[in-house]
Amino acid sequence: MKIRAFWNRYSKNKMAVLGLILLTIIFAMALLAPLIAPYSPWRIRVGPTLTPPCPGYPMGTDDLGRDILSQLIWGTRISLVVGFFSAGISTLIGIFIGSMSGYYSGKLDKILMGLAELFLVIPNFVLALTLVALYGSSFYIIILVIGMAGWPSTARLVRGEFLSHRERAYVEGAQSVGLKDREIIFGEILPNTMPPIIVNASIGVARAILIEAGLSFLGAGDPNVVSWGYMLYNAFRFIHQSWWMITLPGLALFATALSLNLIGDGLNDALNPRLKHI
Amino acid sequence: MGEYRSVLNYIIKRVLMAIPLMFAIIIMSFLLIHLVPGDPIHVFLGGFAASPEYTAMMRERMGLDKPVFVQLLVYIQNILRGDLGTSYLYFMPVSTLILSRIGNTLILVALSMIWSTFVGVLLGVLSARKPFSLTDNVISLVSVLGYSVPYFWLGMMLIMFFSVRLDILPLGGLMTLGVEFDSWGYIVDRLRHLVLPSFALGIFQFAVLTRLTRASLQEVLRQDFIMMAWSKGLRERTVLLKHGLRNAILPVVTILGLRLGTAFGGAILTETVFSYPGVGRLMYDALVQRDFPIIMGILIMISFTVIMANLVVDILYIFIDPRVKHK
Repeated sequence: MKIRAFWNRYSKNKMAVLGLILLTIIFAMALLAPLIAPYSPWRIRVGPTLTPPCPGYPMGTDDLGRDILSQLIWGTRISLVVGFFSAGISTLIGIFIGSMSGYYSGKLDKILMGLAELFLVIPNFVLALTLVALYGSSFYIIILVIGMAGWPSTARLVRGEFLSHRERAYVEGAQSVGLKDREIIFGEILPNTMPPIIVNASIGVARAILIEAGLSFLGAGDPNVVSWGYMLYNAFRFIHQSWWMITLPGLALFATALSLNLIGDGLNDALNPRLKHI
Repeated sequence: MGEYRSVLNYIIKRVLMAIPLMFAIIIMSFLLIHLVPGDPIHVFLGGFAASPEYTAMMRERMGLDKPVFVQLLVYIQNILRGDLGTSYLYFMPVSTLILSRIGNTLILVALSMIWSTFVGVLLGVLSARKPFSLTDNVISLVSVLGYSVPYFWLGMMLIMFFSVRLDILPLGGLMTLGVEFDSWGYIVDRLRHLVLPSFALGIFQFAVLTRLTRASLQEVLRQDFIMMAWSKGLRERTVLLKHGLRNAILPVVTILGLRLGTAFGGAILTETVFSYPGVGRLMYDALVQRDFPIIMGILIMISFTVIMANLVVDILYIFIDPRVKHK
């Protein structure tokens, strides 16, 4: 019943429904990649090199004669995995640090928020690029690095929520019946502060996907996976002749980020009680 | 006199808070270098096969033969003196390299921030004026598109359309080479090279500002003093801009420092796409060549810039937010 009420509010935002449909299609592409991709994304000379889109190769081929459509389909997996895992990591770190900071306040709060500020003054992309340059650009390191760079904004958000909830009656009630801090933080307060965290996380997935694409575009991505950013990196040299090599992977990135941001807006409308009145 | 003193106290307090942050940045970059598996000398030398003499000289200069704590002190001391290390790729001090290119990046970043601020705030106001109207919906759509587009890809699309196909704007670079300009022609030429990159670099911030202004102004417009202004029969423009936006603009100012950092980060991609010789392009070249002193130097330089910008914002607050004075 609760789900139905939620869906009623969410579906009022038509763009958010569109975003959900878009993301479902993208997810299906990722899951079905081996079945729907006409070729292996790595196989060279499946056709003539630098072929524009034509019936045999609906999205054309690249400089080594690899099929762009197949690369695009397989690239879906990379973007989604990086996006969701990185955003998951930053959200978990953000929840942990933000809740400690907001619940205990005092000295601990000062230290943790100082740490958050330290990470905030280094721009995400600069930090991620530096870490990848220093520690290597394997797929797992990239996920970890993007996750590490993004936690402070979540931590600040969670801290703010905890500060406002800490003084409320239900928390005082839980304290007076002798619940442990751990139980109060994760069992009582956290569930009540989830809505803005979820919204923030969905936008974080889009951001992580774009950061990964940027890293790969600079050649700092994992050279062993076909990602949309890598396709753009490869296509950049042929900007004068092969519009399809540049246009199509970028559109895929654009559509994925757009779907996630639209979903974020929809979740915000549906979950954020403050906006319900307007 | 009392007020003057409290303002001064406030400024001193802010400056004192910025200094430990700068030290923390230096310590963090030191730790990052030393956590790399293997001998840290390789990080200072970059990915190059240095001669044993040069290696030994650098080892001594960085204090790498001494205990870690002493190394840290040497590192801090070097950076405080403005010595960010030596680039093996260019055979030059990193600080000289950064200084020679920072001007180009600042022009690009400033142009992108200026247009995105003006257009973003303007559209945000138009949006908040009539929530859920057609204007609002169109603006919201434009801003969510701007929020989602990979801007380096947008840069490439702009090049393909305006430079390759229509041939009305330059492909990239700083200026047209091999042409003699008078001073006016030079400025026009430089600006023509900045149109596409500053547009691409500003698009994300434009979207952020539109959304932020809309949300913030809507919140303000719901408050009592706005009702009061309406009921006094003031014109819409007066209520919206003088009473509404004046208060709604605070969050826009708050994120100025953060935006500067984001723009610097974005400049790495934008300058690479447009072959624009700035700090971002330098970072890219350093990445390709594994020239770590440059990478760490730029990281420190950008972070310090953001810290300084935040400090300026804090001080600006005294003038635009009267509540600060009394805190």
